[in-house]
Amino acid sequence: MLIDQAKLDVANTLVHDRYSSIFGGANVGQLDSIIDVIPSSALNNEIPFVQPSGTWERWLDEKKISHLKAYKQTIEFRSYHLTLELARRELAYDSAGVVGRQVDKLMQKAKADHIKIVVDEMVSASGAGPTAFDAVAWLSTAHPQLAAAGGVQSNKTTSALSFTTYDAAQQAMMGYVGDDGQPLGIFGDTLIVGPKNRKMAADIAGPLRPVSVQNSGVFNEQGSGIGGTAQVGGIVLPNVFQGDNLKVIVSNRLVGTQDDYAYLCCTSLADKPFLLVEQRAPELITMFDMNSPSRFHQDKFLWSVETDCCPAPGFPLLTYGFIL
Amino acid sequence: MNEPIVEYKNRFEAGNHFQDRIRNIPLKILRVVVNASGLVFEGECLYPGTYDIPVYADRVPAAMALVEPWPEKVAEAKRLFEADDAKATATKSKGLYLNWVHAYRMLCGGEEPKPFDSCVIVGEGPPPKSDDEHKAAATTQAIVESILRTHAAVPAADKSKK
Repeated sequence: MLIDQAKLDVANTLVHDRYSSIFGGANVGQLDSIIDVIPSSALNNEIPFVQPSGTWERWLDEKKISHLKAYKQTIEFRSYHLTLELARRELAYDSAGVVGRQVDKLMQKAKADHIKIVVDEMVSASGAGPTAFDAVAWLSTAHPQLAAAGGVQSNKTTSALSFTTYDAAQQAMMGYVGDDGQPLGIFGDTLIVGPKNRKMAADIAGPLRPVSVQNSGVFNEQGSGIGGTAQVGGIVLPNVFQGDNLKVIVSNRLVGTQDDYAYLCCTSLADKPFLLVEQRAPELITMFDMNSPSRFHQDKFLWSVETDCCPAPGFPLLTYGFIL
Repeated sequence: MNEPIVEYKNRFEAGNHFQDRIRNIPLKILRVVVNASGLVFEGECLYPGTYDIPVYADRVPAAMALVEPWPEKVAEAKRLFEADDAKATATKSKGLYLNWVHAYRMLCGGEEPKPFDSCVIVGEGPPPKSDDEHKAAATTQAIVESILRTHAAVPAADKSKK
């Protein structure tokens, strides 16, 4: 089979169509609910975060006027890409359609891996994440809200996720106050874990908690595991939290060093835990032409999915991190 | 990455796969002075104040790592921020620092203040329980809580019928 420009054009059109169908819809996949995608057309962005500095007061004298205390977060400009090269001979003499499938796979992968851009940023700095608008890390033991009182608030623990630490984290989140000293109304509704904590997260989020019984009469003895040799049956105890209407997201990106990481997020408010400022949505750029430089010099075709975007922390107190 | 160590106090965790590792680790009583709100430490949600907390011996270094190394810098940062803030308010201009933590970071090379003012070992905790004691305690607690919940639910259901 000979390759000519007309055939290349047809192939190129097919690739672009396929790209559009895979990348249709602006979302970042699994973590959509915790990420605010902000379209932008500026090189440098400043995202304002506003908190009122006053609350209801009894009107006795002249009104005390509360003002909005504004913070700003500067977002840098970044570009990301995912690129595939293919020798012309592989394409030209591919009678089985393998090349088409590989290109398809590239685009599926680009779509599936898009979230990597955000997750890499979330777990950066040994899990603390990037610096948020309040000048400390996204997950920090020293968020300076209520700075007037010189106080700090923590949204990070080094304890592992468990029923006890989950309960304590919810307690902490419900106790967060703004600059006006008033509760922010935060309650964790989404729990993000890696595969290692999947069972723990499911136990926490489920309304019932199965407890196995061993033939020794001991509850919950898991030495031999569920269905193990010494297992004789199980009872079901109510989960004290009744699941809290919690949504569990198991991310297979939280593995290795991050396998114990867990994030309890509040997604019900106007602000979101994390931001993705996107100047250019993922876009397919190709060197798919007999006269393109890479074909001319190296006899190769190139496909690249490119995007200009920068992940950044949203309002940090919307997340409680279990970082260990 | 170390295996996480999970405390015993939760009935759900009695007998879980972390238990073998900590079965024989003694407890220490730590007296911590906390300056941050909402700090989850060993399963407790802490607010500013002084607490005596039982901590497994191998978690003591983790607690010590949360102690503020430069308390004088905290005071300095707060003073700097307040002076700067007052000046900015008076002149209606933008201040140098967002908040005192920002000032602290500038003083300490990007480090953030730590949540404990101090942390000292004030005593030994109770000796580790034997396996049987753990199992017995977990069983009793699970049964008691189950009974409590069942009985708490019954009157409400009855009322709705009447």
